[in-house]
Amino acid sequence: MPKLLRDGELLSSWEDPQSALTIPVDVELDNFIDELNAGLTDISLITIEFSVFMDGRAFSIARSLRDHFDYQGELRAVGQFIPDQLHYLSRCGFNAFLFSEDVEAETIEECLNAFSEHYQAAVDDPQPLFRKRA
Amino acid sequence: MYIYDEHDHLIIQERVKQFRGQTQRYLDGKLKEEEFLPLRLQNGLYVQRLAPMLRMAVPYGLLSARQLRKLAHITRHYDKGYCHFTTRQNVQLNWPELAEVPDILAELAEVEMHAVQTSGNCIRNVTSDQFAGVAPDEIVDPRPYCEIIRQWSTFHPEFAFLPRKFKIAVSGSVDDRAAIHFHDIGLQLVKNDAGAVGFKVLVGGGLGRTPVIASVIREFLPEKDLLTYLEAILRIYNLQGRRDNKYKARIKILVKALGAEVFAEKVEKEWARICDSQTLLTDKEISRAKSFFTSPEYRELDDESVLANLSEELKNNRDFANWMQYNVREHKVPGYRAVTLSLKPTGIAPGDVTDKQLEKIAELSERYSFGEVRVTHEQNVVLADVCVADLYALWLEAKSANFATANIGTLTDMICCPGGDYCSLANAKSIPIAEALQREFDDVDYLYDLGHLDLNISGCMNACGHHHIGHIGILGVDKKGEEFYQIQLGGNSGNNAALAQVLGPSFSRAEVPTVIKTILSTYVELREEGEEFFDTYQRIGITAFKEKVYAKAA
Repeated sequence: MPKLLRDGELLSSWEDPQSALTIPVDVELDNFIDELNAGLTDISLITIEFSVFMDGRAFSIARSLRDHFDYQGELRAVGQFIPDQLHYLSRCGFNAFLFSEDVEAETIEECLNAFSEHYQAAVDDPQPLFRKRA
Repeated sequence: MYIYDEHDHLIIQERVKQFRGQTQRYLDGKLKEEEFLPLRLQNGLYVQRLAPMLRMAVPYGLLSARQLRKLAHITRHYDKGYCHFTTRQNVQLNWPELAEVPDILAELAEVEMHAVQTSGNCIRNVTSDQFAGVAPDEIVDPRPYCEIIRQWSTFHPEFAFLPRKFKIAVSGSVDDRAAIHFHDIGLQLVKNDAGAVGFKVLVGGGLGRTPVIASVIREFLPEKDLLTYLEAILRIYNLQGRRDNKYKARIKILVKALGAEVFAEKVEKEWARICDSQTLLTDKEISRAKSFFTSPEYRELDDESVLANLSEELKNNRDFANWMQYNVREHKVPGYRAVTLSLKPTGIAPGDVTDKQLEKIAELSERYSFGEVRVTHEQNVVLADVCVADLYALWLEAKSANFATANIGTLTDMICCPGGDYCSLANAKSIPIAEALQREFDDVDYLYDLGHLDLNISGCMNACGHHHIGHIGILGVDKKGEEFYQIQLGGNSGNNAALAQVLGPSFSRAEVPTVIKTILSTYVELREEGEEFFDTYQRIGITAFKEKVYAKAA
């Protein structure tokens, strides 16, 4: 059984929202969103699929969705990403991750919380460290 | 020099813990080989021909005496007692044990060092001018900006899986000593007419298989916009750089394909969205960064009179006089000089140092240069703040430690990658070529007569030895399993950035010294008064050299 990490909680069953959208990693995001009739306002789940974990485009797409298009709904990573990318992915705006059965909960937890402090701003914290330093 | 606060310490300690966990999962078989690969690379760990290789970061080349002693300890305890200064101002271990790497990282963290992003498809260690802060031709000290970039790029969550590696270099002087035309991003510090500090931004330079000179995409970027603008460039590259072919994946290919103007438009458009974000630098942060790079306590000296005190030694000791001419440079403060310790004596792989030598460098730096050194991309070490009155004593000590070869900027001060002796990518060995040339050109009078000459050797087309930008470049190639060497002429890494041209068919290892000799005697024969090798080459072109070299071979 696959499992879903959503907002830090590991779920073995869940319900998907109705108004869902899949965005390919080779998207031209501005054009893609222009072509949606109502923009992203009605969308409550966006899924981005990793075909190989080394393809880092989804990190930038996620940031643009959150920072430029103010997307507030669920942003879910599926496919071939690896647990060791969780921390960066969540910093870039992903809040849900679909895992296969064999990934251990302990590994997920460890990878998600790899760092408690960051130099740069991201979706999770728009203030870079230099603005917080005494 | 930058000093960590509690935030920096915490971040680096968390990285050590993270990598310890990843290594353990790999050793337990829970992390697949191909998944561990990019994770270990982003900690500088390669698996090489004979053993793993660990590349440790030396941010923009600065090291303290304490850090040098730690490196000495690490090379002794975890390796075979020597390490290698690289062409990107970093330090490499050739023989560490994989299982011990987390311990090495923990030791490095104790002295505010790490191996973060020294490899992999991410933003690499930022490089700069080894004479930053002391050069008389400096416009603005680049080090505070390098540190700001270091922090911003360290564990940047969005740019850890780029199409390919990404290198940034910063120059703050009139003469470019950081090779900014040959980096993914080159930043030239400038002042505008109003006296405001900013950057000229160059993008898409690089060496490797497809050498390209960078294009300017912005003439003046105000200093506070530095990080938001870098972020815009990186985002465009991350989204649009090619991922289908590793050899076409660097930003230079994207910039070429789009054209620099179109690329710049895309960057400006993205930047307009983020230029007001909180990543915009503050005056406070810029002054905080600058506060770590203030001048040490120089004595007030009259340059002429301290120099006059050396006149006896200069007159009576030719070796010392040569060293003064080649290894000692002007300094912005009267009575001081910047001294380059040569790591290129004959018979030692360029850039290699032993644990004992590292400790000696630490000691010299404390006695003569405020306890700091700089690693150069030419693989030497600089004591940047030496009082003229101390030069003779320093020379004597440097000489006994084998650091005083008076060859900086000459043919035997070669840039050379580790090559086929160590590197699994190499097509051919490079260290034996360097040694053969050092032995061939052991007549210092001839060497000095040849003047300023950059000779760069790479063991394969990945170009770690920067062969494209040597006045003479040597490239190791593989021909049906045999090592051959292609000769290139006319490259230049500085303001007159130029890519070398291939001379013609390649040569066997044994032929290389003779070929170089012919090239040099051709230069000596055809040069006009006052011309350096590069000038003569620019005036007469490659044909004259070609004729001489291949006439002889025929």
